[in-house]
Amino acid sequence: MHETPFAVNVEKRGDAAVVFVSGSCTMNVSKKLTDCLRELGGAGHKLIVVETSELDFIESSGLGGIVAGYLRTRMHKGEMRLVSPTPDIRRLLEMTRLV
Amino acid sequence: MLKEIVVPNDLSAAKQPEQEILAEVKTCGYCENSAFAVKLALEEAITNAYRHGNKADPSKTIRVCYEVTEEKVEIEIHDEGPGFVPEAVPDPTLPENIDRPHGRGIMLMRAYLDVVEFGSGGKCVRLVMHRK
Repeated sequence: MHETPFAVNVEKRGDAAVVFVSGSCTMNVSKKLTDCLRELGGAGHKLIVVETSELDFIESSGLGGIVAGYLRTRMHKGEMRLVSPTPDIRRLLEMTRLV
Repeated sequence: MLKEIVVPNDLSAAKQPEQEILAEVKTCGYCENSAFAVKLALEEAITNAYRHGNKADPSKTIRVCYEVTEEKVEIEIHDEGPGFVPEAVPDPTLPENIDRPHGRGIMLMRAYLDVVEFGSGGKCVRLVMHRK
């Protein structure tokens, strides 16, 4: 399986933030996603959208980063939505009952 | 006969055996779904060895033994930690555990591979995927 470069890019739009996650979220880079979502979650955004249409792989630490970001966002009265997962990522989310 | 690679307890260094195994998986003609499953299980097992077994100690090592054939992919991951009791790991899909950021690795390995067996008191995990 080809491994593609991992990237996390944030666009802030008023009270909302869109996080574009792309590439392969592997064990040696998943902390980048966790750190980003934790920071955004604590920044007081009303809505955080995690866009995953270009994410081709994620392991459990990355999934944990999404959960941690979600909890932090909720603690700060915000909402987080994960959108456009590929079939492989959707299957992972369903297996772990995160969707 | 299993091949053996020993790497320092470092997540970047541990990419080496992963890449070698996945290259053999590709050479043997396994489909993309199978390669995804092997990659995911390897990442989970190696992360567990690094974090929970070797406690991120850079003086320790991770030993990876593997064989890729036309019929199956077989991998063993060994760490130098104290071991653990797999049955004591909480089910991450239960409602009371869904919000926990950690603890999904073993469940994912079991979901994607045919055999996930722990040995040596939890210091070794054996992974097998048969060709579909």
